[in-house]
Amino acid sequence: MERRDFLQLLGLFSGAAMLPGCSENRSAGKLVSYLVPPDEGVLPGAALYLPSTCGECPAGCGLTVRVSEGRAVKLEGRAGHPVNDGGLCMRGQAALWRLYHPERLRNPLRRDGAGQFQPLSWDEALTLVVEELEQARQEGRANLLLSGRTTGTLTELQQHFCRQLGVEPLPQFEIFSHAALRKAYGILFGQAELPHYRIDQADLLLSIGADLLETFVSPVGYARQFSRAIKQDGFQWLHAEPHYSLTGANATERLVLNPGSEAALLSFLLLRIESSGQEGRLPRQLLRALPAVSAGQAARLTGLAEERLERLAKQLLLAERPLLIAGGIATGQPNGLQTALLAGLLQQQLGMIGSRIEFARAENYAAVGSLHDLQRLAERLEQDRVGVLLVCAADPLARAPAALDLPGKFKRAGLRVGLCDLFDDSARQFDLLLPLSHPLESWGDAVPRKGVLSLLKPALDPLHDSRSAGEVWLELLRRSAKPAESASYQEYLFDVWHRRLDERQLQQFAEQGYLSLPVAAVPLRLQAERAAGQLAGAETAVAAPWSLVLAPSIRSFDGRSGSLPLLSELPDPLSTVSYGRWLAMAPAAAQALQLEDRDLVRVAAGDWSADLPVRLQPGLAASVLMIQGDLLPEASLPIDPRSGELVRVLDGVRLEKLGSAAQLAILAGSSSQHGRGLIPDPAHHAEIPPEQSRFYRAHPHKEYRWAMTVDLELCIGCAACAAACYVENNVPVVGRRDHLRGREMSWLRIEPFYDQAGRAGFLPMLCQHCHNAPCEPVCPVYAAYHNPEGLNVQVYQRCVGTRYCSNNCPYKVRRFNWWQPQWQAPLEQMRNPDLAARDRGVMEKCTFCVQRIRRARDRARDEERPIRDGEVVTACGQSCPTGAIRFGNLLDEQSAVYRLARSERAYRVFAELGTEPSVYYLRKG
Amino acid sequence: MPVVPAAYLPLFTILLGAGQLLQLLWTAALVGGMLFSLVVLLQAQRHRDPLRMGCARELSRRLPANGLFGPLYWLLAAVNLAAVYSRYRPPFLTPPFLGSALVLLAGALTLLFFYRRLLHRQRSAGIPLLVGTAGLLLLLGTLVLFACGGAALLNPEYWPHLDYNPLHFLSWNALARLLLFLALALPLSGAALLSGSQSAPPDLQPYLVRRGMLLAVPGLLLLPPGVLFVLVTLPVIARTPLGALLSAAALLVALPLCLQLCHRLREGRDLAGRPLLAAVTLIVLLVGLGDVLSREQVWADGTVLARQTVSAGAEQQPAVPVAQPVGPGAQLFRAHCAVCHRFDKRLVGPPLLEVLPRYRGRSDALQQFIRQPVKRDPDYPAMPALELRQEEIAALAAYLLDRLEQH
Amino acid sequence: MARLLLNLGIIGYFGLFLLAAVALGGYWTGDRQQPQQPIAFPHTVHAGTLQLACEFCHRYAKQSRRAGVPSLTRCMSCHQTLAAEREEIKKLTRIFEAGQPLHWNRVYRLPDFIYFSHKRHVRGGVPCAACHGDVARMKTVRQVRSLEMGWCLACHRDLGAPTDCTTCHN
Repeated sequence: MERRDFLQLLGLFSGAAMLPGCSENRSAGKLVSYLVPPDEGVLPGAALYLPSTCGECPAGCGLTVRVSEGRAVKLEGRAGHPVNDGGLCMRGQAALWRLYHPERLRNPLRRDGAGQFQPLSWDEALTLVVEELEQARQEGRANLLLSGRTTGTLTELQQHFCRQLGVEPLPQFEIFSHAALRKAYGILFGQAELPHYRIDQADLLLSIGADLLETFVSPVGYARQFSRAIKQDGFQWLHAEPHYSLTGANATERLVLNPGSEAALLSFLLLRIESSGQEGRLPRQLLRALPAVSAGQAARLTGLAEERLERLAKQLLLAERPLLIAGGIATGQPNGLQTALLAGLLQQQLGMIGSRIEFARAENYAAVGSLHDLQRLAERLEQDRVGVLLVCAADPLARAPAALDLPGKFKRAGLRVGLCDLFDDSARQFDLLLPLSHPLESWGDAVPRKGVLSLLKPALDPLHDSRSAGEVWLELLRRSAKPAESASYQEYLFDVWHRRLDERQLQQFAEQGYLSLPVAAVPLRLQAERAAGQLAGAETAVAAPWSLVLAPSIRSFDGRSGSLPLLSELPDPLSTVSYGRWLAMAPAAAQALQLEDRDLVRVAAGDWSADLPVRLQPGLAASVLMIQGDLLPEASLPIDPRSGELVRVLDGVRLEKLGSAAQLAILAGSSSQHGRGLIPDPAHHAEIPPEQSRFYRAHPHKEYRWAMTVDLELCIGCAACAAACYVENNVPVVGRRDHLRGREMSWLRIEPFYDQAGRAGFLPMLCQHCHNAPCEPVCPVYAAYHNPEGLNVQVYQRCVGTRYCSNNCPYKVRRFNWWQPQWQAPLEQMRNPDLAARDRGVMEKCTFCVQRIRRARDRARDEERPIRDGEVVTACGQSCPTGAIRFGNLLDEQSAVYRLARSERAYRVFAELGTEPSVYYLRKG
Repeated sequence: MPVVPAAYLPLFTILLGAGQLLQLLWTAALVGGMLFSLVVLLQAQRHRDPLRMGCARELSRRLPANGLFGPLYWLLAAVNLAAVYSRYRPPFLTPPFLGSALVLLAGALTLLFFYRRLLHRQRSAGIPLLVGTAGLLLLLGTLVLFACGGAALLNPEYWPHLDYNPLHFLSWNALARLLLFLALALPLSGAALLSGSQSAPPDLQPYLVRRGMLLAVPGLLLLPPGVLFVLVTLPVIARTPLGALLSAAALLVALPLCLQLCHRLREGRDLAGRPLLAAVTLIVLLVGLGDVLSREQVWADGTVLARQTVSAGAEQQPAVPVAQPVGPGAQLFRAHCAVCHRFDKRLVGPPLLEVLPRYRGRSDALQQFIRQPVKRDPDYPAMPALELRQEEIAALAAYLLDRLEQH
Repeated sequence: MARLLLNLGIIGYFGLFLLAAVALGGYWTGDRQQPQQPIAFPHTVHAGTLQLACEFCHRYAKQSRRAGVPSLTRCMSCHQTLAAEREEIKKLTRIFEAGQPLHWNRVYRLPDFIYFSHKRHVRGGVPCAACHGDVARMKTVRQVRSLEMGWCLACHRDLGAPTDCTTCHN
């Protein structure tokens, strides 16, 4: 391919290219004639769909960005992308909130003598950096670069930059560095990498501590794999953990371990399988080094029944394709490295390495360091040996354990330069702030794991005077009179791609936004001797009561997404708490202490303490307390000296009842179904609700009758659907005050229900679009009506806000605008123009994404055909990582929803009320 | 568009407006006078009051529908209708509509004629009362038609749909017009009474004066809401700032009038008739002028007549090409050349059939010209270079030469 | 006293409506139906004399929700040479050469909560003039239809187009 053609292909439909002739300023009543007409194929008024890559967490999911009138208005998972294949988590959905965040840095800032930040130009800022670099060099002080995880071309450019300018690149900073796992694999096989696990290839999955569905490496990808695996007959998923995670809630069986006993469990399993003689033998010196854990000891240490342990070993032996994944909390403990080593051994013993555990497709964590590196940085800072400290797209100040006292030590660097996007507390610690462009505003590529190349291409012009990291490095190179090779980072990338990819690949890359590259097999050999030496100290005593687990949060990852308002508005799926922090506690333990939801307690460990409201968490072990990982910086957590991982389980935590109650926004009315069969017990399959006599006339449907099916077997309660719904439908974020009054606005919510044993079931609840909708006849102004296609429509222009409909709705899905929704600039640019803004005093609710139905109908009419099955995908269904939500025409007997609605698993919530919902749920089993 | 030649359109419009204003004034006086006469007659009958009986007779004698006035009034209405038809061609002015309106009007006038005759012949008031009421009702019926028609003239966007739903003929604006008409008719007839009282028998004069003033006050009080009602129910496209200001001016004139009337009434003093009549006429003229302005706004150049719009479009529905299979040359021609060139006639550039033959068989030369046009004929402006790609130019040239051969 | 009250009452009553009428007049002067444009573009010449098809400039009417306004390049493709001496064209050229976009004033405005697609109407056989009038005869384009819901519905009912609320209401 000619270079020019490739550039054209890439540039085509990039956000900046589509602007001409497309946007219009509606409020100002202007129509704009631009200089040049838009590119061929770009229609004004029609949305563009551009490929990109999500930058909200290191997973690197593929994105399809919907660009409407020159603005990115919705992110969707890119179908076919090797990482996420169509799904997108709530953090990815909320990435737009980062792009349009009102607190984004708008221009370079420099702290003046009085400690105030003053704007300066890029020119001045970069000149300053170059001068300071030079000065530090002359003074013999080290210039350092601490970056968040980068992959692909940016990593190379960063290395080039560091080499040329004599800047020392520190290992990259991620708090979820998976350092223990990587180190263990390094010791065992000489590959200090994080392998790619293939859940979809397994028939038995045993996960220990790894929160596969929340933050572990690539949650959307693993959820997608899980959805494929569960469709195979007999797939079993056992999850062992000390606390209660969303991952545990979704496993076939959750094994509650005593904190710290993961290694004991693994030792027992290793020995038991070894002694069965069925699987590959372990080398002798390793066997000798293995802690000899008998069934009785294992039962005592782990807290599991002896019989269960034996059965577990048998399950592993019987399984044809078992898969073990350890990580997360399991390796974030003082014996985390041993746990990781033992897990690696078991994986080797059961033949998973190389088949279901692929080092050839290792996750790209090679450049990431551990907290040891941060410790070393702290030491160097203390010794005043640091000149310029460049911190790029990382927030060590907020994430690193408080014991390191990074904010204090940072002050000793000569010049602290922060390349960041938000002007938050961490940013204020820097001397010079360089605003980073959002990934959606930048060119780039990502290699989330070996063999995957993912494209970043600007979906819109930068909103502010910001630049991407690549542009900054290139510019600094140029200013230091070093060879910069390319005029711009975009050119630099084009050159790299053009050099590495052949013609067919280039074309594919430009068109689909990602590329699967061939990978080389990685030879692995168990290095028994090295491993044996590291196994000592694996056993742990049973923890003293009140172990505190800092669980990773699905909403904020390691805390980095916590600044996005949408993610505070969305409740935590397990506790349904939206705003604020809380201490999760087993109901039995709380009862013993006479504590209830919202009661304030003081938790203390070492010299750290915090006052937190209690939230009862059914299913949590009685001696375990749980807080969300966002609390990390305050807790002075130890660092595992062997792996450099953060220890996230604290023993001997003190608990003190304070006697007062705090305000905590708990959105669920109850954690129990109260026997109403919202999620039917599989034991009562045969129960069919009695046929109701109709009072209202049946509505005729001619061509379409829209319906939705939600497969509860696939639903993992991750609330990606809810986040997608917020963004797609301009659902206002109302904030903590309204949530405390029970005035949430979510059109779609996840309701967790717990049974007596603490097993959770998740029910996505949205407007059921009832055939006999109770909301319709009570509306005095006909604002709620039934349309000919089976939608229960709310006409905002008619609504006068009596709220009768909401009172009469048995599903509590109608939402009332108590205030005029506020969109702080530039957040208003995120609003989907296909939808009206609702005003104060108006009732709103799920519309089944009527704007998407309309778009599909428009396309269908252009081609003079009916709407095809699967052509209308609601925002929730699109985002669902497991594909649990399907949407379609119930009158079409070929459609998926028709088939699913007639499956014997199908039921409707409150069917006995005779409302005839259009949402069919498919029960488990 | 209109049948009226464009050159005479302004004159015609002025005449039309004048005719309508005349009819408005005339009708207002007729309805007000008739209404009042009937009320007086009713009272006379109830109280057996000869004075009031005389008054009623006197009133009926002065109705502007007597003698030659009746046919003249009818003729004016007919002429106005014809003028409206030839100017606007509203689809609702069908022969049945026209006929019924004119027959209704003729009936009303006939009844009024008999009312006067009966009133002067008969001792009892019963029969004339009946006949007069019937006449007034018929007159009001025609008024409803005229009000609706007047409102519909401001709403041509609904005309294509009248066939489908005749109810579109009714509108709030029509109702507002009726209300406003009453608000104008009462003071007008009141003023007419006052100014005509001198020529009445002396014993009747104080009574007439008092009644005239009493009649004018409610009308004037009805005027502000009536005016505003008409304004707010105007279709969006009929809204003119000047029209609103004219209405405001009418209110400004009515205000001192109303004040004067009220005070005189309270103090039992009379009011001179002629100034009152002049003022009320001014009000009517202002309001009427506002209406004419609105209509002219709606009917300024470019408001497409009803028949040309939607229904016609719907008929040719299948003919709309969704994706016509045309060659690239034809598409290019339409996109780039058709602005200035036709094959058969002069537009911006020369007719192509005149200039193309010199390139017959010389595609290269034609392509060269398209690539770099040179000015050949001083009659025409220079042709701009189109910045087409080579293959596009080739396709275009092929298409042009191909078309040349077809002709 | 009574006289004063009567005076005040009547003046207040008339004054109220007078104010309302004047306010309406002022509101209507906001150039709402016939806004002045930054360049006095004559449809009478382009659509009238030259008989250009609407789609020559409003290129997307058949393909998109928006009909679109022509890009300046399109204008300049002819006006580089044609009528280049005229004042308005010079204005256009200046804007073009300055590389600025040209902001026209909207004549037809629908509220935010309305979904309207030019494509659907044009492909459905509704001629442009049905809603925009005969622009070839308008020196300055003005709004010739009220765009009120009743009018939309009248046509939709008449022609059997869908009348469900969600057809147009977002």
